[in-house]
Amino acid sequence: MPSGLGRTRSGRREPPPGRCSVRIVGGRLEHPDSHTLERFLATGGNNSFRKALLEMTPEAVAAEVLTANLLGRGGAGFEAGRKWGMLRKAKRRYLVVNGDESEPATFKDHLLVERDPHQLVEGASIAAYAIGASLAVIYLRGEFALGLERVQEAINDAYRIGALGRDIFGSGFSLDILLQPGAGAYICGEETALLESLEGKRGFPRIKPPYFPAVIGLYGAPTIVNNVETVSNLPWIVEHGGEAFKSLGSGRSTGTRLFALSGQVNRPGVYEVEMTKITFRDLIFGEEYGQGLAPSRNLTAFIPGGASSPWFFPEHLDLPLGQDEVAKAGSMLGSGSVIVMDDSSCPVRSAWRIARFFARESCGQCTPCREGGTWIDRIMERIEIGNGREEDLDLLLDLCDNISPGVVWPPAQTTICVLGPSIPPAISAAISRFRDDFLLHIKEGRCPHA
Amino acid sequence: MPDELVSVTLDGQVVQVAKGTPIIEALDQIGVHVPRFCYHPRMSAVGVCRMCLVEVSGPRGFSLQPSCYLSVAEGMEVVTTSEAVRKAQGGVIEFLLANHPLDCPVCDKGGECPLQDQAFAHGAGETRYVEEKRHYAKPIPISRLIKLDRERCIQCDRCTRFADEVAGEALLDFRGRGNAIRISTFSSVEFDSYFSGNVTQICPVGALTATPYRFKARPWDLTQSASTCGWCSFGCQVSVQASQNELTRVLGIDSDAINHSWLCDRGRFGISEVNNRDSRVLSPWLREGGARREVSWTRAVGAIAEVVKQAKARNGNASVAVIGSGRLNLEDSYAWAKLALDVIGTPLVDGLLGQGGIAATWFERAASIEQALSSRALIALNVDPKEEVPVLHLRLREAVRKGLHLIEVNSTATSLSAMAATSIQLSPDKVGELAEVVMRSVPGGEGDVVILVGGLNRAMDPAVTSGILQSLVAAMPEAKILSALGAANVHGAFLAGLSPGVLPGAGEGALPSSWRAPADSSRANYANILRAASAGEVGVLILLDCDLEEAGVAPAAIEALGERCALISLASYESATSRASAVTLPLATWSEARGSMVNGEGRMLRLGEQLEPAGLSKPGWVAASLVASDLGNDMSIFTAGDIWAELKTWGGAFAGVEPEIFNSTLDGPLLPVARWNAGGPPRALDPVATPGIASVRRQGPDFRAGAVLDPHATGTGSAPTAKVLTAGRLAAADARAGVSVEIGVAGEDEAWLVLARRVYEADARLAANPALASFVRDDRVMVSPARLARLGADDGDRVRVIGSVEIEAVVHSDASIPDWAIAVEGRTIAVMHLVDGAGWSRVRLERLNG
Repeated sequence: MPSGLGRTRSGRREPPPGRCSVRIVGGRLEHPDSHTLERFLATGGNNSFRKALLEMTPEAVAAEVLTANLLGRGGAGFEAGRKWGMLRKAKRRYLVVNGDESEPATFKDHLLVERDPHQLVEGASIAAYAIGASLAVIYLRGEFALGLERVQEAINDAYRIGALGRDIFGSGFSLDILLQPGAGAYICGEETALLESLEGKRGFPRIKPPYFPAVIGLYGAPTIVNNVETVSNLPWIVEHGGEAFKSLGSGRSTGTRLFALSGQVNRPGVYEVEMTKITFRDLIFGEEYGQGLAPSRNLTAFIPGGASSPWFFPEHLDLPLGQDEVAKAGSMLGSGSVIVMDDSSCPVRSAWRIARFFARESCGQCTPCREGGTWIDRIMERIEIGNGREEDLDLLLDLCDNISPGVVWPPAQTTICVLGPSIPPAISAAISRFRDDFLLHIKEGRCPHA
Repeated sequence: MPDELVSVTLDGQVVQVAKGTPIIEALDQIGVHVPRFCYHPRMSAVGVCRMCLVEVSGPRGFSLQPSCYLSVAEGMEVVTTSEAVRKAQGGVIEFLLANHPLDCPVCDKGGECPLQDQAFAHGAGETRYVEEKRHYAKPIPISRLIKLDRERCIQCDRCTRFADEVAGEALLDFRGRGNAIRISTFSSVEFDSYFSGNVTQICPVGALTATPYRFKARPWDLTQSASTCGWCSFGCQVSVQASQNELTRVLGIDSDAINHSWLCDRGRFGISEVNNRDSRVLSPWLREGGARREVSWTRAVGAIAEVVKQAKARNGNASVAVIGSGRLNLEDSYAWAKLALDVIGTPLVDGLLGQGGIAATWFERAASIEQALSSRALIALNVDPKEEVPVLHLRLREAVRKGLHLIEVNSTATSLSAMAATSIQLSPDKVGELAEVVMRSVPGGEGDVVILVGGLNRAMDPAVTSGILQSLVAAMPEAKILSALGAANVHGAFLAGLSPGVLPGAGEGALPSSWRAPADSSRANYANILRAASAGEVGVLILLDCDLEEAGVAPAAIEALGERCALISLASYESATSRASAVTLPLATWSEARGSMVNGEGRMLRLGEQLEPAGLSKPGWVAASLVASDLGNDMSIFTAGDIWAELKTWGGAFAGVEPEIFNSTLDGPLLPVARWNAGGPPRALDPVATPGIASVRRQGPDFRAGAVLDPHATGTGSAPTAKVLTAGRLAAADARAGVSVEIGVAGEDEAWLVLARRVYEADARLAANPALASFVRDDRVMVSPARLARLGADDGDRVRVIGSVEIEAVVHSDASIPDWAIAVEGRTIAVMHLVDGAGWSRVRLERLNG
């Protein structure tokens, strides 16, 4: 049942939110006016924040989140409650909400910021209260023109109704939220590069140690960086309790997740599903979800967790959508974007597109990513347009090895951050699974799929 | 406090290393060299080049980590020889070379290039990169001194870090990202920094090259010797490099005690004037019947002896006077002091341009640079290190970042103002109470107080500074002093006795029977000497590497002086003074003679000989010895070693100065040697951190006595005999007693002149250096907005400044200038003539119409 067919300002169709027995972050999305303050307040908006402020201590809120075992929804899947627990004691603490969502085929946060910005502000406010921050920054991808407008409106609304500012709801808690648009660099979604960018510097990821912004973050103060979807879960958790959240899903994968399904599938879109309860096959082929591939097309590969994750193949279709289950099979749920490829697509071209994306988005700070990324991009381009050499395949794999030694999962790295090591999974998957395709390109001097 | 040690296993070897040591330095300590590019021992680690990856044990087993960035920790295991490390390092080298042009045969860095060297050591012989390389427009002049080749750049972040972190002038940064990342200045802003040349030295490839050196030589064709920079008294250790008897470049040696490998641009690029034969005095000159002509040394020396004899016969010994600028090296200074005081016997000797009072207070309590930077409080008196001893500015920035408490006492805002905890205004009406005000701002606590003293305001007689310094010292008897007095060997000239009221050694020295008296401190002040000379009371005025124009005398006045008395110049460069002189002797520059100098912390530093002296130039001591011979007393100085034999018998500062000392140190000993702690072994050469320096072996002072080296020497003198020294306190106390200086009173429409020293001033040396001459700024006058309003002028109007001379310049309003002052900025030499030489110069302004 397609829903939420509103149109963006640019006239582009918004992705449909999909269906789920339980709606946690997508609860309001069936309403066309889900982004308005009226709808927000009419559907329980700010009840959770009010409850947290007036009835719960910050520690109690944090305890519910810990109980819920809310895994970060940005990509790494680190438990949000544990992350909060690592926060260094300090007078000044900051919350930063990472809404720089820029990975190819990842568009679930996009939906939340455009369609339920008040929930984002409420979630950020709850998180700020729980961690004792009096300033939160929502860092949104600069290209989210409508999202920026709507989140700013939501922040303005919150100030107007007393949900932001001084002494919120008479609780004594004060909070300001700033909205910061990014300037078009994918790397600024990496949390330490994001912090550098916020500080007005170049978006260079910080070298580790310190390992976590919770120790040294924005302007040297302990900082929590949470993803848009992660904080959007908080109102529900505060309202229903951590146990209720934990009862959804199974194992470490609790609650629901948004999956952005795209590629050669009949009904791409964003679907909220209870974790571990359906498989990739359900998501791609299920009537309620992707509704399968075009007639007479066969699935050749799919990427389970964003462009940087290792590819899956038909034999992985029956894996459940759970964090550990996918990790055990050698990939990751990552940012929740599932990209489907059928036999009409050229795997060389697909891998090249991914390599080119990361090469162009490399910050250029460290050598293996800056030089290796572009080198791989150039070789892949040569092969795709028919100028490849057989020895290029070993060269590609060796260059991958020099960026990410062993090309193992989870990746080792010779780089400062994980952007560089995001290239090898696609290259090595494509070469190992579709070597014949590569050789055909080389032999025929052209792309056989073109 | 001794460093806490941790136990680590490096390549199977268990060693104790100070906690916090970067792994790469711990490995260096045991002789394991890890290849590196971005790492630099004098800058913070960034870990961006990834060349120094090694395997380090951690909670989840071994992983590849940048050894420059990670510090050792108890129980840590480090492996540098594994296949994983070899593969990773080889990979990084290959990546770095992928887009590098490999134009080594035409690259200035070729032959001393860290990328070239480490590619040979750790890279594959052949490249697998067959794609098109990056292309950029090149070379891009990012300043008048530096050119940027972006194709060669490996984005190591050294230059950008230097500019931002070390120099505090973030004028270079990255632009673009990924494969297109490149070094850039900000839109059309020049990389205008006193320290810009350092980026060419630390660049590990040929991306940043020095315009004056580009395509001048190949590194392997250069001869080099370790020496000391002669542009100021800080004493930066340098490698002076030459090709075909021309200086080609100067590089900074990493001296722990002094310059940490940094140089200022004046020191680095201030060499072409040495090669510029048009500006040099190449032969002795004699003025006969109004015409100047080249003569032989014998003739010129004979003429000098003759005028000296005549003057003495007419008006006694005091009719001969000697003024020096503090630029002669130690050996020369001693020989001339002996000639003046012992042979000629005049009391009128000032080799320090009036700074003898400061120097006398300084030496008894000299602080090392290290002591000053780790002091409880550093009081900066009449000094702007960035302009006077530039590299100290870099050291100071680092020290302030680490918590040094800085108290500034200056007349106007300086580069210190932003760093200082307290800025106290040095105003003419507050001089008397200044010490008390300063004392109140000194925080309590452990550690000593050090006073950094300079000569920033040229318009203020050094005696004023000296007076303040002494009241500070009287109030804080434990305080030590670091001197930033400008001229390179002003401190050595003082210790050599070429100053009013001091004996050689400046210690418990004794008076040899033949050394009649130390220079007369009351009369022997260059300003008094000049007054006496103008009044016709001096028959012969000897100028030791001293252009009177720099000391504030206008050319017309110099010419007039030349008519009143016989001017004798010992000079390397032609100037108004040398041209007005009756006799000019060509002086070898610092790079043309071995010798030594003493810097502002009292450290004896060595000067290497790198060139044949230009033309007929000779070291200053040879000239002194020759003149002495013609006066009938050869002073027993036939070699520089003779000078050293004699200096040691003076004791004091020179007690215990033995040749062996120089073998155990890279920096040179603090004088007297008794206060010097040589410390550990000298820092090893690091060809990746400071490429281009092949050796720090240095010649230094020549201690070999007795051999007759100079063909002009007559050899009739006897070898120096041990002198019978009679006890006698040096006369510095005398110098101190005579320092109460009248500042004077400003007339109604007058104000006090602030004429701050600048790195680039229009002196004869800079004028002869095309690379640096353009940095001398136009004259301008800065006054408080209130004064500008009273004058009825607008910002940008032209005004006339009237003092002992008149100049015209543009006036600007500057809120940081106190109302009692008129600041004159700008370095045409005429500006310096505004200084009238006594007390504190006063000037008034007149608005020019139109």
